[in-house]
Amino acid sequence: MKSDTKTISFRCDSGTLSDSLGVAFRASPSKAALAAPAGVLVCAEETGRLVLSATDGELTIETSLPAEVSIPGEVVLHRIFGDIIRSLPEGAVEILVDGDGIATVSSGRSHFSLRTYQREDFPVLPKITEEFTEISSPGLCQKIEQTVIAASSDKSRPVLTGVLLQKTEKGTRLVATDSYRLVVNEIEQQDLLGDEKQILLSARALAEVARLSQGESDAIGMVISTQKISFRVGTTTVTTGFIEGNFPNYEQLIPDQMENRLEIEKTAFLDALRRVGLLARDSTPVRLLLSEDLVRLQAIDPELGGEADEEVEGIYTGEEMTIAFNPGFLRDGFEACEADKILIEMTAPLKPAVISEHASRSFMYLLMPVRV
Amino acid sequence: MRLLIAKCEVVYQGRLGAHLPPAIRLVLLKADGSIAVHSDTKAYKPLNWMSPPCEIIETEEKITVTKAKGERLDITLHEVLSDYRIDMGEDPGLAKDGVEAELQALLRDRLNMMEDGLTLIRREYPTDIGPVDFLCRDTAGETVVIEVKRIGEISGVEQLVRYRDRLSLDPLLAPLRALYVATKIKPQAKVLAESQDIRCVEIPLEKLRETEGTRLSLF
Repeated sequence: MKSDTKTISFRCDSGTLSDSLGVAFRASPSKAALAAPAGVLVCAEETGRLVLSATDGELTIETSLPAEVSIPGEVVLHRIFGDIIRSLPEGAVEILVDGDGIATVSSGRSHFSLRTYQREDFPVLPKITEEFTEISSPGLCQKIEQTVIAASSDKSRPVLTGVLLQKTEKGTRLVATDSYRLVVNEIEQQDLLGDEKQILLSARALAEVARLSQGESDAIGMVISTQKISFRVGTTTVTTGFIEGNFPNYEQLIPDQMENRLEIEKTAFLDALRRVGLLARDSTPVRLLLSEDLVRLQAIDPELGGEADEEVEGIYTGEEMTIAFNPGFLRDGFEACEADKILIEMTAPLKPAVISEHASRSFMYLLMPVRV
Repeated sequence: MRLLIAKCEVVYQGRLGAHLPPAIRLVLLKADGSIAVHSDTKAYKPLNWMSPPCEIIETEEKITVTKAKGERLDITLHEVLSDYRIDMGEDPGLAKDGVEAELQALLRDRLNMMEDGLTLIRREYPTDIGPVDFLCRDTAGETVVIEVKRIGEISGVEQLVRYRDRLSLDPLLAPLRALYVATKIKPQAKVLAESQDIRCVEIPLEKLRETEGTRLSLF
């Protein structure tokens, strides 16, 4: 295909390029009718940087790396470019794009060529003109990871795929729900929203920010602009639009008083849950049998004709009760807690239970039981 | 996929003849070799079409489609207004609400919705002619073979009859009876089932989702 693409030429480390492509491609669509939108936009800058961008329309990731740029320019490359770079041995890689729109990749004895796409075939990327505000990273990433687990992946209900960021008296609150569980997570003494009272953004975007932040010592930058939010982590920018729609009125879901309380060691409970959960396949729930003398986990698989039963150490106060949960959801709630001692508060077998850290209520995981 | 919008005249010759005078129409040419002519009305129905296998010969002024049985479609292109091609890739298939896998998973914990007192022997019970959705035992100790469909049609009843007859050969399972379960069963299927002594049970998916054993939701 004849192209009016100018010649572009640059050279960089293949490992660094591979890592950066891996980061960028996390935003490209897994399924696309056309190849170009699922590819990567590569901008070779005179300043000696390579900027890689990918987007699926909802999430955009842009990352950069150092490069020796002989001839600056920009080009759209097929997704397979990432596979090619990843396959190369350690060392330098040279990329040249000629006037016919053919990109040549050379590294040692390996040579590849593939056609490129027109810039017009690649989606328009969001522009960020405002300045980023630095926010401290360690606590925020943990809070994000604790919260996104409750967001839904069901795109038919887009509001539930988001995380609500809400300004509170104490700071900022993160809220996510998939209608079966709800996480309410306080980030104290940190106002992330500026002039905004609340915004709803993609849980997937936030999860990417948290993932990128792991191991990064630099603070996260954040900027809210018209209907979109951008995060900067090191040399990578993650941008996503606000999700439109009304987030459920979650505050009314949090029970006022919960008379039945179970205090339990996290690790021991998770071990028991793992064993008992072997017989909780498909949609089989695990039951928690609670009395002041005894706490038991139980699962029954009618198809196997099997039953698992295990006593667990714990301190229970309240009325005798059997309450059942989806074992995966129960495990998620426990694993999200950082503390060794976990508190489960319950009202009744068919009302939401609240899992939190024994010493603190800044993280709350509401879990709807299962009817048995 | 190719979408060709053109002022065109269409002549079909086959068992019957048909002629469409010149007008602006959409000609769809799919990767599977089919061709269909649409007007801007009649919803999804084409005015004329040819399914594969057929031979399509195109010149600047005409598209001629022929089939082995002598059918012929001539599309004379008076003026091409738009000609757009796109590689749509492989279709992942229609994801339907209430698919059988979800039905089976929901019914597994709610056997009583199919019939009171049923106990499960096995799901996906293997037979020489394919797996049976549910094999259960009723309160009288009789074996019950159950087929679950989203929409119950005659083919499902016939399938269930084959399973029942096959399993009846096993002395450990006989005597055996059959149950046909679906969110909706067509009248013809019910008639056939009744003639085969097969009981039909209709369970709306919404009811399954709401009832006992279903995860409750916060809102």
